[in-house]
Amino acid sequence: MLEIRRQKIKDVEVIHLQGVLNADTSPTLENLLQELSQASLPMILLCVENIDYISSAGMGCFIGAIGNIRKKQGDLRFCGMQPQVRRIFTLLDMDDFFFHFDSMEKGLASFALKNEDGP
Amino acid sequence: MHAPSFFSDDPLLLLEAQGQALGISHEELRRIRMERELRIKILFPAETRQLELIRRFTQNTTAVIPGLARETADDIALALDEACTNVIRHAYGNTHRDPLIEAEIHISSQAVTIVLTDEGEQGRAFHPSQIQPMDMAALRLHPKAGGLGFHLIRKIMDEVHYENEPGKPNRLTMRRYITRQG
Repeated sequence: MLEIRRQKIKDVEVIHLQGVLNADTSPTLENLLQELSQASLPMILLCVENIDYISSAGMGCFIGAIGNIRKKQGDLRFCGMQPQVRRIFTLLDMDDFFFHFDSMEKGLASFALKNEDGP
Repeated sequence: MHAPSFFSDDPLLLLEAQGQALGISHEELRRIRMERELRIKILFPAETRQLELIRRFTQNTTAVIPGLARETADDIALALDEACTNVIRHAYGNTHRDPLIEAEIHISSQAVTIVLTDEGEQGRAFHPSQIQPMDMAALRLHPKAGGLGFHLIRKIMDEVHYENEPGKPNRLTMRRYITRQG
């Protein structure tokens, strides 16, 4: 019910998700995000346009990983967020907690900009 | 064209059509009030594999209620999913064979009421009234997973009531009024 496809573009880990992200399927993603957040500068882009549904279990994956990722000056961002996915962010008042973009290209560009501003 | 049935077709439209056929005036027909209720009870294994199926069923069932926004039907299904997830995670320990959840969905013209019942013994340690409201501001500063499910249930549903007396099944009742917007 959840398909995960990984792609590395420049230094960004792009993760394409398809299906549902609930208590049954989220542990796989949670493990992956924990693994990716071990990098020295984790830059993760989640492409979610093919996610039909997400529950708090899915949100828990993102929230559980974001603290560590941002401490390292990295980030976890989204692209292709559909209304049914956006809804849970709105219900949790977290609309502006994560950056999200219309397309993968814009999401990737946002990380590139960040690097240009680097130390 | 099949013969109309009071049980399978929209009863109000049927009533009007039959009333007109009998020569009853519009004014008289408008004085008739009708109310329908739907009650579905589902018993299913307390396994995460079942969650999406039960959620979709709930979403499809509530989506056809007149006056209920599609987004609200989605929210109600989300609340059910969160509640079932909580039962699966907390109510049953490893020793319980074939743990089950009973979900009753009741739809009237006023409200959607969902009652979840489980036989878990660990559920008796769960006291929703003692759970502090989520501090979302604190969560932003110190993000950690956990506790979001119940927060969502309380946000989506108008009434949430939990019974867990010793020796009795645990029962979570959630109600969403149809006329509440947003």
